[in-house]
Amino acid sequence: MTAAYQRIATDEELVREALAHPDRYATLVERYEKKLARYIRRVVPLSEDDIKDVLQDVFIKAYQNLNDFDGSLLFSSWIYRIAHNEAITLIRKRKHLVRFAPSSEIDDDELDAGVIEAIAADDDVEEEVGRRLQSEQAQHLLNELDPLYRTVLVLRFVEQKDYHEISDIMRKPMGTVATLLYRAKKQFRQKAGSYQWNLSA
Amino acid sequence: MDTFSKDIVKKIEKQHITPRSRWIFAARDIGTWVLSGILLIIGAMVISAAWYSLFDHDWDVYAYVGANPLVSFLENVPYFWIAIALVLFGLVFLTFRKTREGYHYAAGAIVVGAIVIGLVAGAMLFGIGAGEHVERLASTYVPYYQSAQERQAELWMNPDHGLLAGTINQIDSTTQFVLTDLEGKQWTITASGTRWRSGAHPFQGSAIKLIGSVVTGTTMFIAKEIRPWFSVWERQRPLY
Repeated sequence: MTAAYQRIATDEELVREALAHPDRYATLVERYEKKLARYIRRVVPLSEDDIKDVLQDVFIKAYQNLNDFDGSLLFSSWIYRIAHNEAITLIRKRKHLVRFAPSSEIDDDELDAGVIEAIAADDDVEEEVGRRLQSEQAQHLLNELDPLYRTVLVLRFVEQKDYHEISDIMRKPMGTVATLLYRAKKQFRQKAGSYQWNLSA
Repeated sequence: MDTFSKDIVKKIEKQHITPRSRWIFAARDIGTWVLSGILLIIGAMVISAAWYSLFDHDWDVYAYVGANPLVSFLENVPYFWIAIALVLFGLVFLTFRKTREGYHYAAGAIVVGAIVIGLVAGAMLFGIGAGEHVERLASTYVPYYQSAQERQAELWMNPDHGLLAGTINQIDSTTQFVLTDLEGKQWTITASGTRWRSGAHPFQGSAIKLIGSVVTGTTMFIAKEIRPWFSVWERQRPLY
């Protein structure tokens, strides 16, 4: 498999390749490791080593279940779903840790300059909310939210997933996704307000 | 290939991890659908028993015993079957949600859909007599369950209010016969100008319900209307 092929092959083609040759799975891992690491980092407060372990579990599980991927949804949604399930399981196991924010390990380049803006800009009523927040504040604020709300906000505004993809990842109807996003933004605004950050400047 | 992806591939090869067979996932998907279907069919059977309990009831005769129609209705709603049906439809919801496509549908839509299908299928099963069978199974095997028959008996064994039920055991003439009621008491029935409802026949062994009046101080009963004990969809069998 040439490097050029690796670049242009679709996820679905790579899945077919990986089923026959495990070494080809590496290309899929490379494609998604950073994205999934970022997602897990945003929704579960873990050390980088723990994130690596979770990520390894996600990719091994995905490989074991590769035949369950049938093309009815995007591979991206399918593997995010596995990562999401792992994250939710971890959140449940480590409930006492969910409000811990490992801000020192957040890569500011990845996040978040636009995240808060995105969340705020998606709101019709308070479009200026959070525009002045810095990235550390953004993650801190996200960690203050209920895990489900945090997850949906991260998928929408960090991972840039549309409603349909979020519905596939979270295995929830589109209407429920819309409701969750609405409530998540509401809670986000409340938390932002309780910090008395300057939201209007 | 970066280090992380190399590690993953190495782990897969070293531990001989292989993708699970396609048939495992197919079996899971089919199994989930089959379980949903079975639960829905059981739910429909339960609904058919509820229909049976509702329809195999002489709601009109409560007036004879001076009962409040609303109270009588509330006392005879088949709560037992409704409760079981709700549990089953809840399980249908949970299993349907586990199907590959189930999460696309809102909870309300799934539950309402299951209930509508259950009601319609239940009515069809009731139409072919399944409701009665389910009801009888419950009266045999469920402790403390008061069967539709028992409720009917309770209602119709009220001779002082003009209601009587039993089996004809002797025909004396075209207008007179002897009836053994549900408690074994013998009655002489006068049936002159009596309305015989469809399905009720004046022959020995016929199980009937009578509306009329007792001749005071006697075991004579003047029947104004006679109905068959068994509904058209019920099989004939010994009464009690």
